[in-house]
This record gives sequence, C-alpha cells and structure tokens, in this order.
Amino acid sequence: MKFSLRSVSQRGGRLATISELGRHGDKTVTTPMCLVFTQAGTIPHLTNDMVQKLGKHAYPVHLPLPLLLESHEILQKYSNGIGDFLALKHHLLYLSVQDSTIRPPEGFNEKSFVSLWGRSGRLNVDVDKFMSVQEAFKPDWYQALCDSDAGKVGSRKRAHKSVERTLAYLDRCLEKHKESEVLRHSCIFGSIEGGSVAEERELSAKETAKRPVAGFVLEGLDTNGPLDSVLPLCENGKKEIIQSILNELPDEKPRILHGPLDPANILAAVELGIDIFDSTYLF
Amino acid sequence: MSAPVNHSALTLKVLAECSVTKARACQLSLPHSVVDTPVFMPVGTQGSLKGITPEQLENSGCQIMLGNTYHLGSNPGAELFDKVGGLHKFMGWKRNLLTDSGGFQMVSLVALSEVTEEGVRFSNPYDAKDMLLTPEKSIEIQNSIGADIIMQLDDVVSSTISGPRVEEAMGRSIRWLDRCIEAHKKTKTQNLFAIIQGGLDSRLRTICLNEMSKRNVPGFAIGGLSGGEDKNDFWKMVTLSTDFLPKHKPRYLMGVGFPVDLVVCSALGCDMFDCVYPTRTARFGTALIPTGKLDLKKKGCAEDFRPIDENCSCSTCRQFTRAYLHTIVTKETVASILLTIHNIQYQVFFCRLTVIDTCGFYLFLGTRGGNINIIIII
Repeated sequence: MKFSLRSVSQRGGRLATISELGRHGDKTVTTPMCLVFTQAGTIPHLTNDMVQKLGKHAYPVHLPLPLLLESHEILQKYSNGIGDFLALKHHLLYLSVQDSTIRPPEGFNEKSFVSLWGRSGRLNVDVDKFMSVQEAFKPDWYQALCDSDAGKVGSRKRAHKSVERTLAYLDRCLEKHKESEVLRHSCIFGSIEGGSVAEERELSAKETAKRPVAGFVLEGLDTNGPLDSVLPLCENGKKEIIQSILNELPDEKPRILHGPLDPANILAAVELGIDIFDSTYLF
Repeated sequence: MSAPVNHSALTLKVLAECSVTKARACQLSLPHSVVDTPVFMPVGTQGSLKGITPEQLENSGCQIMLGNTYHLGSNPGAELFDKVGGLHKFMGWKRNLLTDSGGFQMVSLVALSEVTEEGVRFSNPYDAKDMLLTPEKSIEIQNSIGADIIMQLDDVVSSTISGPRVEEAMGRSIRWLDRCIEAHKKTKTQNLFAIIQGGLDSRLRTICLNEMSKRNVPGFAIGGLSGGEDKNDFWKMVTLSTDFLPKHKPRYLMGVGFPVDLVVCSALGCDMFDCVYPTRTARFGTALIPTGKLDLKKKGCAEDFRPIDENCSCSTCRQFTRAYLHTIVTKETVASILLTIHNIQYQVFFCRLTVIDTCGFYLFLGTRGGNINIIIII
C-alpha cells in the first residue's frame, strides 16, 4: 500500500491518494475516505446490486470482526476468503477488531486475550486465533489485535495495560504476518490506545509508530473506551487527545477514526489530520 | 388455436393447448406490457413487495404484481393517487398491476368488518376510523390506483363455511358485479374481472357461472377458494369453473398457491395465480427449490457451499452460497431480500414452465415436475 500526500493544510488536514492496493490492480482511493459499515457481512438493508448503484463511494468496505467471528471455521473450509463468501471481493476490505455499534462491557479482556461480543455472546480471541482468522478471511487491510478497554476515565493503570498489551499483540501479529504466505498482499494497521491519559496516548503513538505498520487506528474514542461517544469532538478534551496522538504519528501513513461521526464532526476530524472514517453514523 | 379476442384494454392469444389436460399457454396483452401465462403474480399489498425495489422485481422476471385496494385506500388513499397519476408512477413500476377489490379482507379481517347489501364496513385498528367499502367506492379507489386489471367487489365468505350465508354471498356478488360494471370509469385502460363465488357447492357455483358469464367482462376470477378447505373439494370447484368459463378469456384463480397447486390448476385450465406464500416464506428463511423447500436456518446449510438452486439464474443464486445465507437468515434484513428475490423468480419461472408452448404439459411433468405424483379423481 502506498499513501501519497497531495496537500496538507496549515491546521493539519490532508488530501492524499492510496495506491498499490494489492489484489486490486491499479485502483486507487483518495482520502479523506469513508468506509462503508457492514453488519455480519452485509451493508445494512442493502443487497449488493443496490450497493453497486452507490458506485465508487461504496468501494471501501468495513467489516467489524465481532459478528463475523462465528464464521471462522466455515471460512477456513470455504478457503476463498471473506470477500468471495460475501460476494464483495471487488471491494477493498478492511477488518476491524471491534464494532462501534456494539458496546462491550468493561473488564473482560485478559493479558493473553481480548473479548469480542458476537450473536451468541462472548468469544475470547488470542493472537493465534486472531491470525488464524485473518488467514481464513484474507482481508485487504486489517487492524491488529488490540485491547481497547482502558478502564475508568483517568485510570492510569488500566490505560497503561491497554497500551502495553496492544503493543505486545501488535508485535506478535507482525511476526505471524511476516511469515504468512496467505497474507502477503494484506496490510496491517496498528492501534493507538491509552484511554483518556495523555501520557499513555503519547507513549502508545510513539511506540506504535516505530513498528512497520501500514497505518494507524485511533482506538478507544468511540463506544469502547471511557470517552464514550466521539461526538462532539470539541468536548471533554477529545480534540486535544487526538491532536497529541497525531503529533507523534508519521505524516506518510493513513489514520483511521471509527465511530458515528456526523458531517460536522467529520470536518472537525479532517482538520485535525484524520484520513479515514466509517459510516456507522448512518446506521 | 383460437383467434385473439380484443377487449379495449386486454388481448388474450392462446398459443398452445395441451391435448390431454385443459392446460394452455397464452399471451395476455395488457396496457403496460405483455404477460406470458400461466402466470404467477406476487403480492405487494401496500404497493411494494416487502424489501424489494421495482428494479429487482423486474429483474426477477415478474410481469405483473398485486396491490390491495383496502390497504392502499386507507394509506395513502385514493386522493393522493389521483394527484400523482396512479400507483405505477407512485411506486415506479413500469409493468402491470392488478388490484384486489378489498373483498378478501372480509375474510382476513372478519373480526373488523360488517357486511350488508350496501357494502362492507371496516373498522381500522390503526386510526379507529371506519371505512365503508361499497362496490362503487371500491371501483373508485381502483380507478385512482390505476391498475391494469381491477377486481369486482365480491361478498366473500370463508371456504370452510356452509349454509345459507354461502348462497347469500353468491347472489350478492352477482348484484355487486353489476354495480361495479356501472361504476367503472376507465374501461379503455383498466380491465374489470368478475369473481365467481358459490363456496364448495356445485349448484351455487353453476348458478354464479351462468349469471356472471352473461356480463361482458374481459376476464374471470375463481374466488372463495384456497382458504383451508379440503383439496378434494377444491379441485372439483376449479375444474367445474374452467369447464364453464369461456376459453377466449383469462381465468384467474385467486390465492393459489403452493407449487403443486400451480401445476394441477394449470392442468385444470387456469391462467393466472397469486399468493403471499413465496414472499412470506422467504422472510422466514425458507427458499423454494425443485425438490420442495430449503430451510436455510437448518444446521445442514452451515457448510453447504452450493447456491440455493444450481439451475437458478437469480441474483441470489449467482452470488451466494447456502452457507452464507445461513449466517444471516432471520437476522439481517438483507437475507429477507435475497430469499424473496429467489422465491419470486423461482415461482414465476416455475409457473411459466408448467406449459411449454410447443411441447405440451406432460413434457413439463417429465422434466421439471418429476417429483410430483398426483392422482385426481374428478
């Protein structure tokens, strides 16, 4: 994946092009970009023929893992990957760890695994299982396993744990990614954790930036962290937190921010330097 | 083959007739498009097939679909249709529409309705307003809706009822037919069909057939059946009606039905059918296939990487496996849509193939209907 900045505004907003999208030939996408949210592999209420009418706007598809995890074994047997299974193989597919529309309860992640909440309840996912899922699903982009439960607001201890664990998961995911033949065309994204604690956020950003990831996901700012809702970006110090994270990240890699952002908040986030959003707001 | 007969808004051309049964393949020309019969018409009560766009419906091969006068008359109402210029424009459907008169609601909403010679009074559970549906009112609403085929208001009783009420309803349906004919303003663009009643009584049916066929209507429907009665009684009434009804006018058997019924009733000489079954069962996770039904909720589908039907060319079967559908059926709305598309296409083509125009009905039974063993003694 190649991320090329075309222009940067004074306040930090950027326009860019992403090319070399692996199996997609010479297709390119431009950022800021919106990922089309899916639930259990379908764009809510729209069949594929209806989605085709949205044209290039529906090209990048966001697949949150929780509701798809139950299909892991099936996909292993199917062997053609999740794109083919969902008849979405001509789309750019990005697999995230959590689903912004599902608010998981706090306190269920352990050192060696993260809890994901599917239809039949809690599923524990460690790095081995996680990477096995990636190999079965074969997405174009995926977010490395991360612990986004940063505990109560202001709690340094739990926030620090989320940073440490996430880095450990990332390193192991990167190792396995490198060895994987199946994932050689896929790109791995690192997650910035740390809850509402500025120092932890900076640490997470600095350390993640050192790893060979394709881009970054700013985690814990939607439903899965102490900052509850992303909206509005100007309240509760969220803007400052995002700013402090972005200051530590390299310019030449894309930044993803998940969660239900309305148009006004998307503009605010773009101005700060976010490149990629999802369409959970519509849902 | 008989020469095509022309009423100003309808032409029926009989293309082929089976030499053994009463089955026939026809071309029915209606104001919006041509329909190949036998035809299965899916039901879009409120002006849409639940979850399907008109474009998806067109792609599935559907040439004519149903709307309902009672429901559309309540919401959005005839006045709006007058302003818009009819239901075709309102819903963006270029092909044909057929509206039922509101008669069936006398059975389905029997607890909320009261029938007199004047008409039927419905109380609406949503807004507590009463609607008095007279033959005149029904035709007025149907004229506003603008369907290519409209149905008379008939006095409908459940097929499981017997006694004097059945005869009363039959007689009243004849009188209401005359009132409908009188009230119908758009004979050049809308075809008014009569509906034969008489319950499961051959004497009453015959009286009704005699009387109604004297009226110059473009087509006839066989009503008051498909309501849970014994099949042995059902077939008899169907064949009695088709024996009597003129060959050069279309015969519409209302409320039918399951694939087996489509085969048998085509053999008995019916041309048109409607039923909520394929669309309703789709929403509950069941797909129609040549060997019967496929319940996609069943565990057996979880690792089945075949499409619903390998010989089906619908958009669902071209893209998706049973395994995928199993993951979303009854859980995501898209599953309802995908199965509805398949079931409509399946049923529409199944019905059309019941009579292959040059080869005849028995060839169909040999190739497609091979799993059906029916013995009918009439």
